[in-house]
Amino acid sequence: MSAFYLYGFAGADAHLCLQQLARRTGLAMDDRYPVEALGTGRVRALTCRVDADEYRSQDRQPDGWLTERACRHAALLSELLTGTSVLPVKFGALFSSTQQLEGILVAHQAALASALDRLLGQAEWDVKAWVNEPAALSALGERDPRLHALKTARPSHPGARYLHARQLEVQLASALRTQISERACLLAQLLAGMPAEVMDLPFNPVPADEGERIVFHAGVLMPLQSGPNPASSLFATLDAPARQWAADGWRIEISGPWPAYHFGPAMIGDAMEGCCA
Amino acid sequence: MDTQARPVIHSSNASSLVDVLERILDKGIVVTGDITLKIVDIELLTIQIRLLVCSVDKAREMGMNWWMTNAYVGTAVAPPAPQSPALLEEANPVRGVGAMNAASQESTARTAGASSSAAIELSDLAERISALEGTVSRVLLTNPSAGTDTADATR
Repeated sequence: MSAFYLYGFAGADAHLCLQQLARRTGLAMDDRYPVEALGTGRVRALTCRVDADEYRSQDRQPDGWLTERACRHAALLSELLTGTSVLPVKFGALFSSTQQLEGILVAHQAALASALDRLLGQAEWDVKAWVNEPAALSALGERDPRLHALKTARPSHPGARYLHARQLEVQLASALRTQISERACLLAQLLAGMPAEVMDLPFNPVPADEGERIVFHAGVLMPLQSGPNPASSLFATLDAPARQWAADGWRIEISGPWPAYHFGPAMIGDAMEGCCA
Repeated sequence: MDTQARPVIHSSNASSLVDVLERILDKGIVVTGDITLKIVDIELLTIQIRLLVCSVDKAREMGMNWWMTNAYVGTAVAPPAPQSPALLEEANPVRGVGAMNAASQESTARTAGASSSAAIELSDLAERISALEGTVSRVLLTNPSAGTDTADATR
């Protein structure tokens, strides 16, 4: 039995973009069927045919089945980003008929069109700052005169030496917390000064491999620039702190462009539900 | 890495599976179709992704290493073991669209293999929650002055 998978919504020119992607594989949920732009008004629903039974029995699918489809979902929306306005839908929206999808388009045409107009020509960028804690602590111990003096002083008695080491650990940890707080504020200020929407994003501060952990995470919605570096202004803004802080074990990472996953509406109206028969 | 040449790293979104999956599974407009995907699997994948982001070492300490054999995340890829029809039949007595009950959640977790240690933890947690709910019900029935309506306790 067939069903229709919804990737998201796009502008009226989405069908032209899809034509250019027609020969690509790995975008449709099922490579046997093309991705189509459903609808006739200002808003199109990006959909493709899938096997409903396959999705209903997904717990019996091989490992990686769900991940592969999630990646296809992401890939299609990213490919369309440079050609039309894209409003992503959360993974997993399936409909038993195209009539239900068309019903959504009719019922929420104005709200969807408004959202797409706002996102036209815009892309989301992800900014993360990472700190390698061992490197950062070592750098603090060298550069801060007070901490350096504490570090180089070595009591002769073993007990005193132990307590001295613990004291140094506490002081270094406190200094690092202060550094992280100050630099995160600075990054936020730099981004806020850009002609863009900026949103704080959550992150897990627990260190990953080799003592590196994320200390700053933000999303930036800004015009998608043409040329080899579509976020040149964002890179330029972060260039100076990245250079200055590299020796302290910091690195700044930007990923994108993404469709506006974080900057679109969570819902349109009360809820967007396909009408049930 | 030459920080003088490229101080700000541009991470290609195609290379960051975790970033991709966190966005797709957790963000975007919520649209409810009339065909429902089983939420448990999506939530399990989301949990797995979050664990990966959290701490590889910490997850290992907890006994989780599903990403080592996951074909789309791990580097040491092992093809999934074929599952016998009999085992699947035993594990999935409830089929079709709709929410999975606790029994089928547990059955699904048991047949998922080594790559779903997170699923096993989830089912253990569900069992503990059920046990606690039973305990709370007994407490409320024997001690009505505990504050809630006994009608609630008998649900």
